[in-house]
Amino acid sequence: MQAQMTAPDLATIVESSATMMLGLDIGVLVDGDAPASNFAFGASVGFTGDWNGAVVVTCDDRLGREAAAAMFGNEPADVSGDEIADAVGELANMIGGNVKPLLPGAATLSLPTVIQGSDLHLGIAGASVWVGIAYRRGDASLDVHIYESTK
Amino acid sequence: MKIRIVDDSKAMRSIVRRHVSQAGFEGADITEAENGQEALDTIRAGRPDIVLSDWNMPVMTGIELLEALRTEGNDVPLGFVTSESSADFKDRAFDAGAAFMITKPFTADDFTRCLAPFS
Repeated sequence: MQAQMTAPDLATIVESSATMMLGLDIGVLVDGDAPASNFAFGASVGFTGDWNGAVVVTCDDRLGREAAAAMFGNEPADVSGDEIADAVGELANMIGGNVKPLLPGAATLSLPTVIQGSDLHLGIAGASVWVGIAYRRGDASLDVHIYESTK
Repeated sequence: MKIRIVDDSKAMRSIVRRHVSQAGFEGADITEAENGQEALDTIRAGRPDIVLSDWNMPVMTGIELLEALRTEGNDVPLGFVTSESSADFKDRAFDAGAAFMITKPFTADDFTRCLAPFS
């Protein structure tokens, strides 16, 4: 099934969630057609139904801290790893919820799944990147990819 | 004004609480629940003036919470604050008796507009 989602559509959704609502400085949009790598936090929400896939949000520790600080009203240095994971998961949830109406068929949105670590690499078995965008601000990074199931 | 915020994300409960305050309800008595079941139990014990609930949550979803309340004859106003924005979800929410739907991402103005009739 051919869907209509484009990188500019995804960028509008990401920026309305991260920049407009949270006031995050996520930097500039760069070429993001490859999966993210070397991130500290990764969150995904899945779609199941007529269209199957997932939205994956990955970021480095700095942007993760800033996202959590924006949500909790704290300073970035004061947020915990669990709070960052919660915040990045909620960011994925917001993006996923706004991507969902643009999918070509009905789909159910899953709860977020979050991983954290250092120098992580992420791939989703049985799925390929459909649309991807990346933001960079110095060394800080935020990547958002929509994976489409190939099974 | 007693407001019950229901969301499995502590981060989202925090940001909803802050937006409610920014919307002109600084003095509201705000309490929180992590899922629909916890909210249902606490609403039975003490009715708030309004419930602000997420849709997708573990244990009991927001729509299941709303349906359970109405089945019990409890007409406490419940508005959804959710990333679900598709027409079928809105139809289901309003058919079940939802007061309003605020879609994430949101602004304080969304809460001002939706909460004003209940203040």
